[in-house]
Amino acid sequence: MTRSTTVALMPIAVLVVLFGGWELLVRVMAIPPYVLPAPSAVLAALVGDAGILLPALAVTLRITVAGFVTAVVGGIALGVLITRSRLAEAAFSPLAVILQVMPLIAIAPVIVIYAGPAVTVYLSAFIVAFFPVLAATAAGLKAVEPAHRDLFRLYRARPGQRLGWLEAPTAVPYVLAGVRTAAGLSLVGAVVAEFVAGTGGAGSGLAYRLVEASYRLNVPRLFAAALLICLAGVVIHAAVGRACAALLRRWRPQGER
Amino acid sequence: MSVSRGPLVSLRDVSRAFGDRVAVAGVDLTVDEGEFVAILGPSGCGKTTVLRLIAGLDDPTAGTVGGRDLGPAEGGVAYVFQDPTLLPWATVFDNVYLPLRIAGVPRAAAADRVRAMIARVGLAGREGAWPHALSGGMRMRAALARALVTRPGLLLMDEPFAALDEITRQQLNDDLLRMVAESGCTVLFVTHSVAESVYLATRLVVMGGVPGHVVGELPVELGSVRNEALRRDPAYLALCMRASALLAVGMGTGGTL
Repeated sequence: MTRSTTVALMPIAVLVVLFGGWELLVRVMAIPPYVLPAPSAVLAALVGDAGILLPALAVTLRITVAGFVTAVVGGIALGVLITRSRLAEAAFSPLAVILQVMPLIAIAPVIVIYAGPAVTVYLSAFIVAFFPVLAATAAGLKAVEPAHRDLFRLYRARPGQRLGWLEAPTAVPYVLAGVRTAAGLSLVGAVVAEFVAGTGGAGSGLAYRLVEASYRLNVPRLFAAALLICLAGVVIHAAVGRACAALLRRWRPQGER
Repeated sequence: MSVSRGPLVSLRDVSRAFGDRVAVAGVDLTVDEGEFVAILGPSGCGKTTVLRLIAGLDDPTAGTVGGRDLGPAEGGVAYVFQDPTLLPWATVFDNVYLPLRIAGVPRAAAADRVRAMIARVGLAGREGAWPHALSGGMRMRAALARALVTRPGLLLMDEPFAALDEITRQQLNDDLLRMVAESGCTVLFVTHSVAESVYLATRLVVMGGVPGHVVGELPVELGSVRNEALRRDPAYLALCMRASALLAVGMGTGGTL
């Protein structure tokens, strides 16, 4: 076995041992499912409750993606705006910092009073994803090499030319790093908000179903919902990571300088 | 452009301080059209500061920086920095096109001229190459093409070949002389190499001291034919020795004129 296949198989082996041990433990010690469901019971719940869990997953994902996409657009836009002048930076920076340091779990119950549950979940996904994009964009736009700045000054480039041909291309790798961070966070934001503001019925998200299952001591479903949230996070992380890497390759085709 | 309009560059009693540190003090310097002036001096004597003041990239704390207002575009000022400072996300073509692009020349209208300039610096066929795929010498050639593509009236060069190996450096010096002769532009060339300055220039301005000032000037009357044979010419060697003596005066290490 080559070293690389060993490396690839190791995480699978760890998971097999972990879940195999778990299954064995539950069966041998006859632990009741409302205390600790065996992996097989979680899988059974996942399949059996698919009619409830999958639509809920779709709701959560839709809101997550909406929050993420608008956070990326908004973060880049505000990042460009605040780097245009010291005045704009001074005006907006405190607000951005407040947004960032505010514990979402504390503010979601406030938002829900005024905005309703669905908008609250969306806003939470937006808020947590917004700041990394904003910070990365602002940092990237300011990361222009002094010599490049001199070059554009020498040829008396207009502010728009400087932004489009110098600052924006410089910022690309920074912004993409921010976007990668934001992708995972937007799901966390949506899930946290659903804990506080989730609603029952057709519009309920996955985290709401998870809380609901916990109240009903339906522990296998709780585990299944948590598993789905994990999987969704992994998929989002991987998809956005790949997209960013592909964009980066196109932007600077043969990698580093 | 006629000579009757006075010198291209005229510095009168120019000083520039950065906080408490005075970089240059009391610098007088005149450059006439058609000259190839080398500013020779040790590291840290303010050569780059003088060049930046002339380029308008910096303002003096005292004295006047005058001469003709050449502007950035056609017949204007071009600057070759110590590093090639190519935009890493742009091809050789786009890097050379940049000054014309900033000046508002459409891509199609500039294409022939950009390609011709790339060929003149010896990079024909590398238009689509990315800067990181080029050697140090080729990058500097691209930077030279970018500087010359606007057909500048005044070319400012800040130790452009200092980081290159001796052979590449000599080739670039010969190519530079050829292109300057073809274009007829005036050159102000900063270097710390005595041999390079005498080989290239029609006049030397030796700088030194703390703060930096002009120690002396030396006309280089070696004619316009500059080639390998010149390096063994007694007149060339004598000039090198006189330039070295001036440098020694500037550095306070003795020596007489």
